[in-house]
Amino acid sequence: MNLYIASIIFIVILGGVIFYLSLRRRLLCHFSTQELVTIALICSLLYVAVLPFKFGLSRIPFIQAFFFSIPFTAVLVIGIRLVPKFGTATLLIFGNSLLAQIVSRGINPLWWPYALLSSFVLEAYFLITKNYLKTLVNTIGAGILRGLVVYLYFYFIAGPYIWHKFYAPWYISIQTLQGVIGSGLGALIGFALSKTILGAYRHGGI
Amino acid sequence: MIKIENFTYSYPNSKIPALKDINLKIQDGEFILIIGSTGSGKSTLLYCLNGLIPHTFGGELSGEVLINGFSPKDKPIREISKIIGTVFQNPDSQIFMLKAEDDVAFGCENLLLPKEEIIERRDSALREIGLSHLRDNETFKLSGGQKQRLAISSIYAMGPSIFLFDEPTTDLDQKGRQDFLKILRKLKTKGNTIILVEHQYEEFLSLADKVVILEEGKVNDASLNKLNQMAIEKVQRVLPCLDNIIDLQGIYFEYEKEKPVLRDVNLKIKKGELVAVLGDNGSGKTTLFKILLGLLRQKQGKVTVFNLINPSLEDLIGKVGFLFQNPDEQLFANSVKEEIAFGPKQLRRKVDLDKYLNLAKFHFFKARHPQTLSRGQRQLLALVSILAMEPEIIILDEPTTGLDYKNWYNLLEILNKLATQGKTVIFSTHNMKAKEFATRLLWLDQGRIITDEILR
Amino acid sequence: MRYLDKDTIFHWLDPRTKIFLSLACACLIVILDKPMSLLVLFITILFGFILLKPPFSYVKLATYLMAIAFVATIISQGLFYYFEPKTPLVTILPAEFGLLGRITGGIYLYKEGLIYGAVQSMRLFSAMLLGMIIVMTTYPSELILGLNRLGVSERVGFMLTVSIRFLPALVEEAKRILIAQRLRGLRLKGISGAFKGFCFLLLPLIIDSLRSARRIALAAEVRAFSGKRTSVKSLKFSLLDWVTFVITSLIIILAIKYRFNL
Repeated sequence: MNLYIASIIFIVILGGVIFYLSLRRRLLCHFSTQELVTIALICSLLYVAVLPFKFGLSRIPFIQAFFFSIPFTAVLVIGIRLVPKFGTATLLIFGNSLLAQIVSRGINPLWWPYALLSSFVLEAYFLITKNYLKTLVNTIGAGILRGLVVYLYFYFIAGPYIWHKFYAPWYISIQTLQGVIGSGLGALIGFALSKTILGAYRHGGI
Repeated sequence: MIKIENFTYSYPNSKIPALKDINLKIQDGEFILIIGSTGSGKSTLLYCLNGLIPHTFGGELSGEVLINGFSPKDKPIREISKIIGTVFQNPDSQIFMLKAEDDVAFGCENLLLPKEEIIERRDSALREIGLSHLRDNETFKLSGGQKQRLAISSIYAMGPSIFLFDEPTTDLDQKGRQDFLKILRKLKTKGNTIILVEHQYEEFLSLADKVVILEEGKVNDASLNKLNQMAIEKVQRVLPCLDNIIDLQGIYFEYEKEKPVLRDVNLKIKKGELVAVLGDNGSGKTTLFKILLGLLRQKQGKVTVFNLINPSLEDLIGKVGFLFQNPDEQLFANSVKEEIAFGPKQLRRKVDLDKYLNLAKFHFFKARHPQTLSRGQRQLLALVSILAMEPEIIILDEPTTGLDYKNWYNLLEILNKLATQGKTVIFSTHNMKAKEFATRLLWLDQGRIITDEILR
Repeated sequence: MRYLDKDTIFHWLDPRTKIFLSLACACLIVILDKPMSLLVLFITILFGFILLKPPFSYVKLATYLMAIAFVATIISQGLFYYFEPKTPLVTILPAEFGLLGRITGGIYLYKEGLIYGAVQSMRLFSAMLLGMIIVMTTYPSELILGLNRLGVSERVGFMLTVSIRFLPALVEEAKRILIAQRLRGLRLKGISGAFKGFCFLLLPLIIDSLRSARRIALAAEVRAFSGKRTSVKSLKFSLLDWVTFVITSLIIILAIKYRFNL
């Protein structure tokens, strides 16, 4: 119980710190209308990309981590590379979470900390590395970080303290490893795809 | 009054000006028709009036644009939108809300008007444009024509006196165009200034006070008659053979119970025919194509294609080609050459790639990424990529949408050539001129074939 | 799950109250401890769900989702239960079995774990059902308006509206792209096929979305969009909302008292 409250406080503090840092570096810029709409559509695409994996094969909890992470992280990476600004990651991840809730799953604040935590951690990562997924190494790092944060949060905080569910250490390791590898792989795919997209963009085709 | 004097504009990073030395005077209440081929600068001219140039696009301007005394570069777009309203080509991209009446109110809300005034303007706009009965409908479920009318009423509610239309009827069917014409008449009667950019402009000529022809950014003083009167060669063709390649008997289909989309369709198509399918949206054209392709299974009746009874999609891959309306949904490769080679590669068929590259004159673009081509070129590329698989039957869903005369003429020429080579071509269109290429005309209305005419 | 156009008590509530209810339910899910209290929570929400008289397909979907959650929870907790006492029902991997056994400490299915899992799954059920109730009784634009009134920026609200508005269109487009690919002979098999298919689907989808984004942005600018706007709709708290707010707050306070014996 205490840990859950602690994690909420942690998220808020982290958010505040990032906000303050960004103001200092004058990175908090307004998004143009086109960027806002692009982010909105990528939020929807995040939902669409994961859709085929919702039913069927990947309902099996053991491999689920892997299969969800890949398309999600791929589209996320493409989105951030398209709008490499502070706040993009937060809008994309949290926006997608809200979207999925409003449209089908139902409003559930218990899922918000995942979204907020992973997005804040990513924003901090970008601020620290001063790099919005410009390089491959940075991208894979971001992917791995995302996977790590989401799965560790679930197994160490959300699981025991919200859902009162417990897991054995070996199981946690396997799942987290899958999540991390999946996210890393997704980031790789996203990076490769976004090269083509940005290329087409630059040549004025879009 | 709108006054444009010696106006030249170049987009950023572009050496060639999009508009060169434009001089134009438009009085209040006039209806101006602007025509020209793709890339002639028509949309650019509109953007210079509504403030998108220079506020959103940037670029270099010289000369003057004055609207009722002020220049768009001196006012923010928000202020300009109170006087000039713009309706674009694609109705879907102009609707933001989930419910129709909310979308009409959206513009007024952005103008920060008080609630009571917004309600009044919204209800009046819905009434004037004739959408009051649809106000509670979900926007996703509206037809193309209804969506376009919704966009118009949203702009109307903002209270402009000048209306700009950028190819608004391209995606609309006959009924949509008729409804649009009625609205234009109404707007004109109320004294609004209207500037209309269109490809298919014949219907609007009678309403127009002035016609401006743009070519490569310059106003062209050529007379209308010279434009676009391309002789459609009536190619001498071999009579189609007597084999029926497609045979539909008693087809009945409904998506929802008690709402039939196709009723008792009987159709025999011979090898080598060039069939034009006309009909409003909702008449069942796309459903018919999907059933022909094996994507949908009819509820009643029998489909025979190539002597296969009720074939599924898998049976027809490589033998039947289908071109969707939006070419961007069909381009997957990283270069033009790769795109054309894609289909045959999947089918493991050896084809002469150069022949197909030449068909659309794509030799110079061999290595370019498909997405960097213009809309018309992408359409052509999508078609050629399908032709490269050498199917016997080719079905095209509204291939003429969004193309100007030059481009769809090229397209239809290719189709004509195919038909002479013995391929069977079926295409749906709203364009009355396109039907002159066909050998057979089908007219669908509410799921029934009401006309089946052999043209030549 | 879609909005149901009905006239129930949930429809009368302000969207902000409903957001508060879901927050309250989240708190209760964390605070409540005893199986009996979890059951009471679940039954109350289930009662609300039934009150709405949802169509059969929704009931089927809800049951399906709850069943999956139930089975997954029972099995996972059955396997990983580590309180005492624990009596193994099924032995999957004895602790003495070689390397794996030593790492994992043996994998057994415990009876108490199964029961524990069953009880805990009620938390999931409550969260799921309440979420569904809110989606079924609140129109998306109302929900976004509620969020705006609670302090979420208008720009974010606009972004959410656009996402929701274009989602069905994107799904349709994805389907068309897949068909176009099949028609070009693309045959995808197995895991590598799924990866390839994903890449082939994503590229045209994203590029086309970028084009749409440009068009939509232009249309928004011409509609005077700037991030600030007034609203035709207004939200007002009614007596029902205040009553709900007070009752829910009391329940939470009681729950905290009860749980920590204050």
